[in-house]
Amino acid sequence: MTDLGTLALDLAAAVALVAAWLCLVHTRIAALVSTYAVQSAAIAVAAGLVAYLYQAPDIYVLAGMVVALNVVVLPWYLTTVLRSLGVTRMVNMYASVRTSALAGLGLLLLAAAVVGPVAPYAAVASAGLLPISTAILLIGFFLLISRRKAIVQVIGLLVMNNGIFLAGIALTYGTGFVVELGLAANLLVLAIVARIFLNRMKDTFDTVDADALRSLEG
Amino acid sequence: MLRATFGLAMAGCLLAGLQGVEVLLGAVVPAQAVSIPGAVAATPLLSLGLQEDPLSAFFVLVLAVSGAAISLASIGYVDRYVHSREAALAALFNLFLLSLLLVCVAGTVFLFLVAWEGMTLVSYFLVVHEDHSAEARSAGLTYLVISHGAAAAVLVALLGLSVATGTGQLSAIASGAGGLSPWVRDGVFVAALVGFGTKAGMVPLHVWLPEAHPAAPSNVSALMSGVMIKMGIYGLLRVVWVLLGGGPSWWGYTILLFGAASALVGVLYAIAQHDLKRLLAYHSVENIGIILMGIGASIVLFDLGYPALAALAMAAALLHTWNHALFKSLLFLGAGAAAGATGTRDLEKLGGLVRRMPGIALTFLLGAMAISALPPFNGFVSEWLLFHSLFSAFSTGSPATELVFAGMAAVLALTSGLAAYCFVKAFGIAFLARPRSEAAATAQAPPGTLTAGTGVLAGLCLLLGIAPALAINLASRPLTQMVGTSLGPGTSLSLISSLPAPSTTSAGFAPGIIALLLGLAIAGIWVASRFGVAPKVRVERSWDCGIDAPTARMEYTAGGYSQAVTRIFQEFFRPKEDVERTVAAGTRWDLLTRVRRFSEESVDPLLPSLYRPIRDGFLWSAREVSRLQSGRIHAYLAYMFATLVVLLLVLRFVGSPSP
Amino acid sequence: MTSSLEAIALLAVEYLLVLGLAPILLGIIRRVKARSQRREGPSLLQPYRDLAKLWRKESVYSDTSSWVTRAAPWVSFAALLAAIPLVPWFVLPTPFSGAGDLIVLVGLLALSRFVIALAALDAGSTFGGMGSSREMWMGSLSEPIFLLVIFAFGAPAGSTQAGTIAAHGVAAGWGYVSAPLLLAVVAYVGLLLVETGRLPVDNPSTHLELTMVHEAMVLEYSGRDLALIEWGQGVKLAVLTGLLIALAVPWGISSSLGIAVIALALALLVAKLAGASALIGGLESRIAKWRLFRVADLTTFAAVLALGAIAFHYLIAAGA
Repeated sequence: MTDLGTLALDLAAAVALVAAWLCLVHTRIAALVSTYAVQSAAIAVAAGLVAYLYQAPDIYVLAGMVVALNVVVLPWYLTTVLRSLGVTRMVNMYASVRTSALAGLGLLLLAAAVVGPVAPYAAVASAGLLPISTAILLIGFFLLISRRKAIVQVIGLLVMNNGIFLAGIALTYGTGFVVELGLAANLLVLAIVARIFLNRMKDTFDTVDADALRSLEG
Repeated sequence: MLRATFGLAMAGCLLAGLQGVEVLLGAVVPAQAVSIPGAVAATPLLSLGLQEDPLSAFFVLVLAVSGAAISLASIGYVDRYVHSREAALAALFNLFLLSLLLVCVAGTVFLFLVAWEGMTLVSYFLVVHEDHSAEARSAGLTYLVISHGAAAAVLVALLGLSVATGTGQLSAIASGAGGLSPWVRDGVFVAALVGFGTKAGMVPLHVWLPEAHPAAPSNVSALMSGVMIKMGIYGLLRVVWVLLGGGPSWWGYTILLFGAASALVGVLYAIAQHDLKRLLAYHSVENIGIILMGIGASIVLFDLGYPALAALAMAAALLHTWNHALFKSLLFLGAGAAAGATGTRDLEKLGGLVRRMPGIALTFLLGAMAISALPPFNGFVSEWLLFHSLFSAFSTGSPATELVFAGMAAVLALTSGLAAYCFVKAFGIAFLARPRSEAAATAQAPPGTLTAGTGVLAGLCLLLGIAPALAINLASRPLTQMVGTSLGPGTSLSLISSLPAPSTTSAGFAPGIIALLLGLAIAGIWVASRFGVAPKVRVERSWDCGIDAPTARMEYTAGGYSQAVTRIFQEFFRPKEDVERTVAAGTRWDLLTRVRRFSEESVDPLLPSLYRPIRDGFLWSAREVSRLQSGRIHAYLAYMFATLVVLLLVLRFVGSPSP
Repeated sequence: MTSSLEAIALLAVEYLLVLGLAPILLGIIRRVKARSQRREGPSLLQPYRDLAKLWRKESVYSDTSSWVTRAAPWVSFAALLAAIPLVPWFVLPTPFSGAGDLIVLVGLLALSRFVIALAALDAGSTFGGMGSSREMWMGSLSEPIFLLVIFAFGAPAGSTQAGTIAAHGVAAGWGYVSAPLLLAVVAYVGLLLVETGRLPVDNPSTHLELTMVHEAMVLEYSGRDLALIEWGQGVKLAVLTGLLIALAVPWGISSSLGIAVIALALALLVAKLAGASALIGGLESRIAKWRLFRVADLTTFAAVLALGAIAFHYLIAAGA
């Protein structure tokens, strides 16, 4: 019988997976953003559980960082950007909702098939953590390639980031390396977010204040 | 005269059925050699002989029950609705029954092939019976050509086995086939799947079926859809299970996947049809798919080493074979009554028939519920068994099997859900509401024997739904013959006995109790409705939003009804939409459109993509060959001379030296 | 082992419970929705009054309709009644559990839907046809989800019998909770919304014919027939919610026949049912009705969840 802690960890990972699948079926960007926040919260919970279960206090820092950045700041930032840009609120897709959902299932199967053999070597006892994090990573990638709007692609990138983060925790909890990796990855994503937005603004909205853009370019 | 002919057919069917039941209950019929007086002494390969083992007997029973009911219905049907060459039709009908019977009881490869060809030829003449219609002639030609392609595959499979084992006796082949090399076995399997699969109507070899079945007179359609396509199943079971004794997993997965494809494609195309008989024909494709899924699952489970589970899957397949024979015969006879009385098979021109032919309407409804796999009818029982054999894969410990089977279960559930959708449409549009044409409004009640025939079949559908143990007991010997085990002691003839579930899945289903609960509930509602003062009952016009006098034009159409499904499976149907607009003069606005016609047509996508290249290839080679036809006598003599020389050379270098 | 007399007594309690509670579940959902819209909302007992009123009112039949219209409400309601013993309500092993498993339950629900959809075509009105087509369409999409969900719930217990699955859950305690179970529960909730025609799929309180699905189908019904259909909607909701409770949170269900234990289990069951209805009401007030064809997206998503649960069970959880 699995202990309660590992069980909670499994459930948190499953919530993150469901959230990733939900990202594939949402047609409104606002819903996508809040689902991303939920996923991040689940991942923060997972990180906190790992910290607690394996007495790795540095992961608490990581979890707190996820809460601050992925649950609060980024969704808020995306929402304001969404509002200020006045982009239409629908997700434009290359793949239909049904195809995307089925692809999501296929990606879980792929992840389970590929990572399954190495899952026992993961540091964390939860059997589902590694396949789920890999699936989340792949789903984020799929979101990135199958959606038209830059802002949705950014969310795809963020979902990928969540997957990497979860995988990192599952594989090597409690090493400083992971903290650094997570931090670096998040910063990288932030930079990319900013970059894509600016490019996008420049491309699409000629009326946006060009001076402000130029001042950022330097 | 008709009465006598079809009465004779019925009597023959009943006798054959009795004999079949006797064998299924344990009698052993010795194989009998048949010799034709004056014929050349038979070589082992060309010997004739009859045998009736349990598998044969089961299919004889399937044939006999539907055959008897159809013969009964044919008396009235042919008398009333067939207006030309009734005698020829009656004679061919009986010949057709005979050939079907011979296929089942053939004991040698040679006799089997002769009966098989006979069955195809006789049914071809029946398909083109109404040869004044170009549709029937073209359908007949399609049927003939594809059937012969399939017959070639059957020939390869059976003669291959026969040559490899050196005997023409089916029973002797079975004992000799164990030592064959895997290559031969695989080759025989593929040839058998193609040949028998075509006759059964397996996707993508099904294209002849929706053409040929509707074109024939309806009693023949009933026999073809109800019984003849089952001969494909019989052949497949005979070769794969009895002669080869099962095979590797990939055979099973192949059949399973083709079965699932047939089930889904069949039901989706059925939904898009507005021709009642075509709709039913596509449902035959669907149900053959369900049967094939059972066969495929049984091969996989047997290969994994679970004969009890394999028996469960095979029981589902056998039971569904019989069930489909019952309700599909019933539905085709009902459709025949509707089409005969109104002169049209177009759903958009039918409607309101429940008032004109209440008996047919009731039996058609029961058949529709049976084919839609609703309890307490027989279709539900066989699908329940199949669901269970798919679920039981969880105990095999092979993740791939488990996942594939779960996916197959979803396909099966989708199929039965869509079948229910389709039959609400078929029954609702054809039999309910207001008649959509003059012909439907003035339709005559069908002859009594026709209603009686459908009534017998509907009663059997209900009986086998409430007491499936009857059918399962009869299937127990064929199961043992094929899988080596039957369904265990859970089966008894008691009416409310549970269906047996394998020990690994502790789930039960007592169809009798469910039927009892349904009956008690209805009785309870009746009792409750007796209490207090019964409220008044008033008959008024349907709600029409205040429009005066709703007409048949305002009813939901068959096309409209199926649109919800054709819409979400758009990628699959690729419907050709044709919107015709006439815009009021001087405007460009859509809103002012005067006339708007909308027509939709859905072509089987397999036709152009798969069959056209084959047809073109044949035409090309025929043209090339026709160059040989110079018309000069010397050229022909030269061909003969060349053939002779080549044959002599072949004899010298390839053939074995004669003693 | 329960004697057959006890079994019949338990069955009677089940029927009284479900038939009696069915309307109040609808009442709870309506009340929760009203509250979330800052309305007082009708009394919880209003559905009972509606049913009593309908039962006394006269029936009006269309002049184009046939015996199908008259028979359908009876058969439909009877099918739902026959489904009640297939769900473990408050005691294990469930009385008459040998009658059928969850696949039979799916069949009975399909039967109930089939006859009403036929009757909808009987009057020859466009609305009936539209409702019928849409209802059967949704039904055909939800059936595979139902099967997958059954497989997902059934795989760990090795059975498709609701009672066996619930008993497995009770015996396993916390060990029953797992990631696949979570996925299966979410899939089941999606299925529940489609099957009972709740909000993102169908709006039970709409009065615009073009947006109705179930209501359009039963537009021609009045009097006692309508009472049966409305009551049947409640029973269906109760059956599906009760099943969710038995499969997702089976704890508290009684395994013995002591009076005190049974009373406790009954009280718990009522509380769980009320809680589940309130949750459905809360869920409904947060979402708007979807475009009809979005329903296919919902069912696909539910299918992905259920298949995901199965895959998870076989590929991942089983490997650990």
